[in-house]
Amino acid sequence: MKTFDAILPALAGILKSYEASIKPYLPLIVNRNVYGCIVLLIDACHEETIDLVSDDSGMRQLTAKICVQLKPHVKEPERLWMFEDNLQLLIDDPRTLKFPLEDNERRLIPEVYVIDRLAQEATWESFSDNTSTGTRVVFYSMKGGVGRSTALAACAWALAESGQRVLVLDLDLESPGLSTSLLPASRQPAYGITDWLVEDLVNNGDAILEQMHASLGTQQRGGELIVVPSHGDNPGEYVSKLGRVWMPGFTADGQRQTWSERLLRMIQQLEEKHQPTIVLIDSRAGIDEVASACVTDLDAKLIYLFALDSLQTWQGYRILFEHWRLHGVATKIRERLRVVGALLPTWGDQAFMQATAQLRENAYLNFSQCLYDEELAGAVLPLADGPFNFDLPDVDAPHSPLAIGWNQGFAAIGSLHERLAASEANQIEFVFGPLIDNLLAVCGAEP
Amino acid sequence: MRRPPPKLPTDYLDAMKRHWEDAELFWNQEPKRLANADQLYGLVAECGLKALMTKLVHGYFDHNRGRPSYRDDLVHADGIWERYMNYSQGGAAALYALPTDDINPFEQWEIDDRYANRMHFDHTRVKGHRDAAITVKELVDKAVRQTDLP
Repeated sequence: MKTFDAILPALAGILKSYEASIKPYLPLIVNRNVYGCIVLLIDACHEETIDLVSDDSGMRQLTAKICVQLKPHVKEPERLWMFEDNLQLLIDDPRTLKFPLEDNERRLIPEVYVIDRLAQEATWESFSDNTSTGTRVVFYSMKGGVGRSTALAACAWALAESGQRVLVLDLDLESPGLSTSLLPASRQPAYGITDWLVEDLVNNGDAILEQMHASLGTQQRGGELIVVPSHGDNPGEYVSKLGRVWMPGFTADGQRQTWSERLLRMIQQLEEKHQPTIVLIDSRAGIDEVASACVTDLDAKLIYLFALDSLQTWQGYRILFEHWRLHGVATKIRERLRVVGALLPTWGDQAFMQATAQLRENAYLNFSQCLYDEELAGAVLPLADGPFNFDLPDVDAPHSPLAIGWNQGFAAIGSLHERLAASEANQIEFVFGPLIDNLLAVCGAEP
Repeated sequence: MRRPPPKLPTDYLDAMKRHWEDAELFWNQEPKRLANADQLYGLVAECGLKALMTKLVHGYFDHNRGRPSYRDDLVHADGIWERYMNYSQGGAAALYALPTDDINPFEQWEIDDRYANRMHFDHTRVKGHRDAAITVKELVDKAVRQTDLP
């Protein structure tokens, strides 16, 4: 009996062993439904000619083998094949989540695609492009409690102090709090992102757009920090609102918009209004619906992957990286990724450097096996710009950690704005310097 | 040559309701009017699932032509059950999921059964189709309560 993870490799193996039989019927779609069961889709033109009955028919034998070996993830032989008039449309439709089938050795099965039907909107691969007029940077972590939001707040503060117009979005909707730590209670706006997403469902988003941010001007070089919280000063029926933000919306002409497309529309409106030079987005941690939207759907120029050097962290990132590799979308995201080493030990001789080096090695292992191109000695390079590959020590590589040391001054503090306001610039720079310098470079400013 | 009369506008939701009401009239009579009840329970499932797919499956319904966009979706209860099971996705797929039974309850149901003799329609057969129609109707009722439909 096969379980979920064994289904596709096993199917690939069976299809390869019946290559001659299946060839006249290609292309083929493996449709995996929300229950994890598969049916095979082929063009309706074959419905009259395919032989699923005769004893010596290869297709009959193939069908029987699939049904025996992949049980219970396939039904009986009569229900394995479906004939589609619009097969090519399914293959070509960019809204259909699909990826090429490969076997256990990562070898592709030509002209066989998998359509994966998920019981949620988040896919971790619905990339949107060219929607940003500014520079969006996502702060993401596989695990919570790694100082991601604190780092974002400190960076936002420092960037504003250096003259940037910084728009901060608290998208950790299920664990909100960034704005509370960045803004004094008296400055909290009336509404937040959750309110906009709910009002937008009844075309009422414009009514609150002016009242969902607070600005903190800085005395330095005309910079500004504009904070958009998850909720307003009074959270109201937050749980009830949160339970609705995932709803799709419908445009006036009936076009369906996923919740993340609505979110993107909100961000575009905020960018248009505030004209930021950089947008910092605090994402939910883990493999989560909001995190999926933040990492893949918002056309971020840069995605920071906060990492403690732990087995759990790398197992989590490995799941994501392998998903991107398997689904053929690694090339769409790998150039935007950058590892941030979080809470690195700063006590003891050489501890910081050793921890950074160890983290770099583990990051390299995962990047090189899933996201970097393989180095093929003597091969003609398939990419115009050469392979996407980096050496372990390369300080500009995606796997090369921007290192943040653990600092008692920024640990477990309730009111970050007071702490930041009281901090000397060099204190923030001392802890978060590598990150701030990287962000300034992204903004096109001199560190 | 005579032109065909204009097609009445499609309304899967109301069609499901009226087929259900009439099927129950046949079912609740004594003796039960099994043959025609069976036919109508199939139509209940077809209309109910098409109503859900119109709302939940991107591009399912062609509003200009008043019918499903693709020929493959021009099917009755025996065909729509499989298509719904295999093609629904997104958050609503969990909310409006059909049971995962291995059996398509309408596998033995055909639209052409309307030409068959009443002797072929026994209680067991019709009850199975009625139970499946109730499952679909409950999903549709839930969608109406959630205002996903109409």
